[in-house]
Amino acid sequence: MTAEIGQAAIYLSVLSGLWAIGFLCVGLRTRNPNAVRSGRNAVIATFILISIATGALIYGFVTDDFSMRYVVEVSSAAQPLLYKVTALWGRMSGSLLFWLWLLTVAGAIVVWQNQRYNKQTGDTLADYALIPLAIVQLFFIILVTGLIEGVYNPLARFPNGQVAPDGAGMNPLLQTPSMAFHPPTLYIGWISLTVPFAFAVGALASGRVGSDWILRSRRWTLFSWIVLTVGITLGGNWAYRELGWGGYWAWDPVENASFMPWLLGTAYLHSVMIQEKRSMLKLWNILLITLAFQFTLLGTFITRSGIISSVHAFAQSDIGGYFLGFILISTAGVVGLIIYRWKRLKSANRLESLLSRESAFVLNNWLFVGLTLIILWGTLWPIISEAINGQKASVPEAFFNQVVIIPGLLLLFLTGAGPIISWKKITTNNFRRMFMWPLVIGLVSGALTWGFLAVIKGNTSPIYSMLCVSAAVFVLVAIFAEFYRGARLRAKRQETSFLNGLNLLIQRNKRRYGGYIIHIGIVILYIGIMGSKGYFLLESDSLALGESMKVGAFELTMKDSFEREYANYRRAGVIFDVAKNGKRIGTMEPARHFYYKAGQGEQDTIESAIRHFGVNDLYIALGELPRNIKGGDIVNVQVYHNPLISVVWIGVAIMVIGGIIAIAEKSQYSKET
Amino acid sequence: MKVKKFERISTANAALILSFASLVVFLIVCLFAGGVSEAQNTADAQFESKLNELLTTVYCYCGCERETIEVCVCGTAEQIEADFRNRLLAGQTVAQIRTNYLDTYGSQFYAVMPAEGINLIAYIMPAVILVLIGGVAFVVLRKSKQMVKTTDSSGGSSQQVSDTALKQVEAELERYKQEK
Repeated sequence: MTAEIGQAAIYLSVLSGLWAIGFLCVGLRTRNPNAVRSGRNAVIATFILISIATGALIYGFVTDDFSMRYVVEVSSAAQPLLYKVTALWGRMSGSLLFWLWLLTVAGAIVVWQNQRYNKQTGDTLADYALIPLAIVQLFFIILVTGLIEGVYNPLARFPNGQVAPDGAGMNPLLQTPSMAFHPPTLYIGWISLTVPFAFAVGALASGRVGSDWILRSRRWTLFSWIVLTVGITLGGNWAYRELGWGGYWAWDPVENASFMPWLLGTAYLHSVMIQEKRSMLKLWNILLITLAFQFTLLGTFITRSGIISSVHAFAQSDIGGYFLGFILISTAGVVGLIIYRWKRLKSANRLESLLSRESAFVLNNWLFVGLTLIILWGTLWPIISEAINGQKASVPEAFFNQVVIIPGLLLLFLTGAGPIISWKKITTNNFRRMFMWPLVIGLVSGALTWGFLAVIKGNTSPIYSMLCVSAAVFVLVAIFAEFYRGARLRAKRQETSFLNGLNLLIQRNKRRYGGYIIHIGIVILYIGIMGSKGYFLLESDSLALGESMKVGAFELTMKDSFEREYANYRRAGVIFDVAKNGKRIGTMEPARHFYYKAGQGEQDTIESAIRHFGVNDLYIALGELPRNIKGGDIVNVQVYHNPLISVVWIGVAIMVIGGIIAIAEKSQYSKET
Repeated sequence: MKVKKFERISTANAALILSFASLVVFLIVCLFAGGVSEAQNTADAQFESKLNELLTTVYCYCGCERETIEVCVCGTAEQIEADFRNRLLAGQTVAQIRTNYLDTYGSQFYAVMPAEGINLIAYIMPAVILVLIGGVAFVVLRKSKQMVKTTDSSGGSSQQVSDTALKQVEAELERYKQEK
């Protein structure tokens, strides 16, 4: 009965979705407040209905209702409760329902947030924004109804009252804690990016293309950026722990699909500052947020349509075409509105100098958008090359590393230059005061790095490491100097200590100094990437019990094997004695898990053993396990020494902390409400 | 009083220098602790180098997407490695073995994209993208700079006024409707 209630809720939500769009359009057009209120209520109704449907599906998982097709496909009786719940997004139909539910949550929050403001001011911008939001919701509602080809209703039961004895189980690769949180964080990030897009469309529709829509959706954009940052990192962390190749990023199409909206969102966060401060780039900001939103859908199209294969694509089907269609139609709609509002989108101010913060932000946007298009180009190259010569090329990680390195380093430099260059125009005095020392210290650090790598370590091509360190130190000096100057001034004015001054400084302008902290996090992240990608060691060997292998300063001896039974899998592996520079430091237990129910995935998963040594990792992954290790069978072992890998995670943590500080600042709009 | 001020600045300097120095030390320690080192030579360096060339330039066909034979830890990769080793020992060249592998399993398993033939477009295009977007940005910036300001410095707020005015008009209209 629960499944039927859920299905009925989905069908009813088609009506509530249409109701919301219709009444909001008519109400705003005819200035009928009752119709607008009815439209808002319909948005809330859609949220309630989709919550019922989602709850019904989760109930089906928890109670092992194997009369439901989707439950049978992604769950099993022995699956732990956590993974029964996360099975909700284990395959296509459920993940679409989950996406839709998050969209309706966003819609309900927009209504709730703006209710008081609307009552006080009579402002209707949020109501305009609800229309595109409801249209996107309706698109997803139609997808999950099961009425169109390629995707079935996740609450559908088997025909003729059939009940399966047990479920097939979820893909074992998804049964890990990081995978339990990685997809929802990405979805939340993408969906919260839909809200600023909806406000942009609302601004175009209402004709209020000033900074209002940016201020009203600022927190949504920052929230999206923070959550996407966490989501992408969780995905990298999952790949590092579960895929057994010792890395966290390989420019896989699904990784790229999540990274591209992040890049565009970051560009947007910077360019809106120019509109807020100087009333410029109005058209560009609308285009940028539209592009960012479309890339969230494009990512789904790329990964779900199966046009490009990926290790992360767990839910392929025929829905790619629907996504592509929606992208085209919605883009055409936005372009139409832009043409309609063309005159109002002209900038109120002009650029005074090419050497100004405005120009730095434009340069930053050029690099972010350029990087996005380059990554898109590399992601789509297999299809393009196949269309040209009939042969499907495979784009290796090295290609992406090669083509993104220069724009990446330029962006790193701008991370420091942007905050210290002045608005409107930089003077010679300003340049000397702000840039000279950071540049000198950065260049000296780069030269020292070159000396260390080339002369002491004999590295033949340390040029990128040198540039990376130069730029990183430049940014750190520039930002620390900004903090120092501001805190000292604040301390002097308030006659308090420097640390209190620093605290006051951040409290008074959380957005700005939160942003600087993000920049520090980015520098740390760059250093981590440089070390872990550029200087890792990999050794492979085939070992029998008692045999040893060496990786750098480490010696590993395979001393025993083991097998343990768990509720839904068997864990088998070997025990290594680990010594560093001849001194025993402990044991490590790489293993493989053999799942009894694997759904659509492989039966066994690699469970790497990872041991941290400061910021470096020793990482062991096993090949296929032979039957009789104790009897002398040989095990294939891969061992990585990954330098600075923890610095990557530390960098991201600092970025997130900076983001949280920045989001804490109330905008003028928030203060009014 | 002067002494107090001196003390305060001194504390400030100390706090800043300490925090900055700790970060720089952290980065330097990271860099050194990273164990930047050269690859180990093996006894049969030439043979291993050829094998390594093969293992790093083709993907495993087992289904582990985009993982070279060197990195992939599945049983198929182990078999392929053993096969490559035997073929090299039998006197086949790296190119022969690789061509045979790609002919059998498909060109999509080639993990190297040489900058030649059609792939040259793939390598050139990123630069073209950057130049094109950069060119457009530069032209727009230059044009924007050259153009005489159409509005004075209060132009920015004029748009905001227009927004505010629109908001007020909307509010007034709504109030009027409700009163009516």
